[in-house]
Amino acid sequence: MKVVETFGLSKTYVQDVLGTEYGRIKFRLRNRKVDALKDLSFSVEQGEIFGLLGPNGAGKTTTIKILMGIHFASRGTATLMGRPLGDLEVKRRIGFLPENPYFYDYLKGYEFLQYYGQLYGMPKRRLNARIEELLDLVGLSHAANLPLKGYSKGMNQRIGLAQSLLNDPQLVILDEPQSGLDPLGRKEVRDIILKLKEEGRTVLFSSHILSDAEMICDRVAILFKGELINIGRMNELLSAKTYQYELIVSGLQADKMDALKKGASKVLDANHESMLIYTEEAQAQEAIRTAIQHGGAIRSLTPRTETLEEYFIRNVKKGGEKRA
Amino acid sequence: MSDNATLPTLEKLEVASWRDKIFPLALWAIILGLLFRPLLWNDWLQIKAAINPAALSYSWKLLGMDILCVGIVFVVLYWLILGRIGFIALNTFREAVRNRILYFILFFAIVLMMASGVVKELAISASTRIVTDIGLTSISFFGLMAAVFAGISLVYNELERKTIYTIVSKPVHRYQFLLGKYFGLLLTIYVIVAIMSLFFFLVFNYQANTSDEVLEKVLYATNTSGQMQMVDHPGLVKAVFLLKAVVKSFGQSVGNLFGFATGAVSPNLLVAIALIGLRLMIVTAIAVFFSSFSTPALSAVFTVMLFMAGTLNEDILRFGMHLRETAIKEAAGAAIPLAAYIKVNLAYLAALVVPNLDSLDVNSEILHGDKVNVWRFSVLYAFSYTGIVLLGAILIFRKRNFK
Ligand SMILES: Nc1ncnc2c1ncn2[C@@H]1O[C@H](COP(=O)(O)OP(=O)(O)O)[C@@H](O)[C@H]1O
Ligand SMILES: [Mg+2]
Repeated sequence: MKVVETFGLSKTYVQDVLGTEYGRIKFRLRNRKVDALKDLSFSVEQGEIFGLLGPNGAGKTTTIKILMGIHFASRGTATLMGRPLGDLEVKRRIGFLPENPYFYDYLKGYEFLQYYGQLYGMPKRRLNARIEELLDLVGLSHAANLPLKGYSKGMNQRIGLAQSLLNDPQLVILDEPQSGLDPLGRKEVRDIILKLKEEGRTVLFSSHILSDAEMICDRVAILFKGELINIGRMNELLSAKTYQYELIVSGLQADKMDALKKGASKVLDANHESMLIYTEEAQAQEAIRTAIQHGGAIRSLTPRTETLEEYFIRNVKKGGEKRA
Repeated sequence: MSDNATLPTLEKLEVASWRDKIFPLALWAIILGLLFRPLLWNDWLQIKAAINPAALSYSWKLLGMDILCVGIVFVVLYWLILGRIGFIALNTFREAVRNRILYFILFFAIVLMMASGVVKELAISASTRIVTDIGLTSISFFGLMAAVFAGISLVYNELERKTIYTIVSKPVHRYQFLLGKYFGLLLTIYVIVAIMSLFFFLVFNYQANTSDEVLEKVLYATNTSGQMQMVDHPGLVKAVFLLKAVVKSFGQSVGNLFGFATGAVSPNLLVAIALIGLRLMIVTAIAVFFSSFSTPALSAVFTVMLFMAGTLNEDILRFGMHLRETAIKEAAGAAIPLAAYIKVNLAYLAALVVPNLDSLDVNSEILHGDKVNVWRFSVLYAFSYTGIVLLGAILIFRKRNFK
């Protein structure tokens, strides 16, 4: 079953004369239009982790807001669990974490989760048990009785993650779940997402930090300036072939180093070490042999396949040139 | 795309049952039902009781009405809880309390205390008038302030801080959110009005219970030879008496709050406060309406402007009628010119759009000792106007993109 499906989703933000897009009345002489999303079609299969990737302003948040019924699409439609957007039965089965979440200052962590659980209509006993479980999962058990006012950005993100899982959702939509977290926190979120998948849930999340996504996503869609640049499995998008070898050596005299540098496409020198980058396997092997012969030490050899980061830079550059 | 017939069915989920809530629900229904009884019995504020206070004594008929009140409130509460409106309302109330919006009451208490201290020296009738005047005026004023301030900020906060994002992702309709906010605000404002009224009644009853005549009777007794004589230990007797008076006044005031005209508080005064409640119901709806799409500053300006225009509603109508009469007179049998026709109808339209708060205000009648007469239609009007304004807010809110 397709859990999420969009059909030519487009969004043009218009600041009209009454400027109500921004939630306030603003008188303007000229309308300003932003095409935030252009004809986006994609689908997410049951049980997969789907990444919505792209730099800031790509339209990731816009897509998610439309799916959650916060904004309305200018053109196109979408379904969640096969039903049109806004269906209450579907909302009962979804969890959502907005970008840079911010919650009620005046509530304590526990009260906040209780309130949101009530909005799901959860029975009290089950709700309380679930809250304990989730506080433990996101590592906030110690802060359950602190007011949200005192929560740091990372803690807000965690409690936000907890509220998105209250109802045992079948589909979890997370907008930049790792922003505001330190590297350890990012890893924890990654683990939670993997755990959600293990439990058979579908996860759709967005990120502009590709390294967070590439380790866990089954499939990704790459957005740039509101357009879908590519979509597919990780290994289909990236060339699996090793395209460079990074060799780090130390303990070689300068003249011996020159021999090594000859075949390298790039050389980086640190105090006692040098990193040499080769594009051919044969060159790398030759370099290792030479280094050992002359009494050097091999610190490491890393064959590198393309990363999403590099893929992205390559494709976005192409896309940018096309447009320019 | 799939149409309704081919929608996939989703398996059933366990949800909270009404059995979990039956006790708190019943408790609240009793408390709130009794609080609202002054509105429902008394034959919808037809001031039968004002003319004949005996009509206020409790009877089987009134018991029936009370049970009806509690029943109605129970059904309403059940509906609110079912649609999650109740939870949103309670959270709004909690926000108001924790953000210290109830501090409005403090100002009121200070004003009233100072006023009653000043008028102590006056004759009883004059001091009653002044306390009534200050009490009613400041309950109206602080109620209005609370309605505008809370009504706007509590809706706006939710949009500005984007907590609305997560609310709309829950199984809650947008109209349910807006109604939840509205009922939460109304609850806040009614709690504020109720506490202010309690103070007000307390001052009233205490003054009556400790008037010079009463005090004289306590401190002086006729002795065996028929002469008036001061009792032994007058200081102690007086202190005990005053303490008892406080307790007694408090009991009477709580009775007043639930619609019993006990103590020195006249049924008219109860009606006046119930009407303040109706006016605030309208003002709160207007505040919610504006803040559902506008900035807080503009919303506040619009709401206060509409409130002020509302207190002049009958003047606007009279102005329209005046225009019409002069136009007819000037036309002298010929057709009325278009400009005059438009002017007349604009005035009528204004009177229609602006809330009619005039007809819900009996403060001046009470002060002048006139007969208080509330038109049954005015009460119905208050509910209809509120309903229409909320409907407008919902229609705007339903299709809105949040910032
Ligand atoms: N409410 C809005 N009104 C006007 N423009 C907006 C609004 N929200 C987003 N945009 C614009 O739409 C584009 C896409 O934004 P967004 O979806 O937030 O990107 P992302 O989440 O990928 O960083 C940006 O150019 C942004 O400025
Ligand atoms: Mg974003």
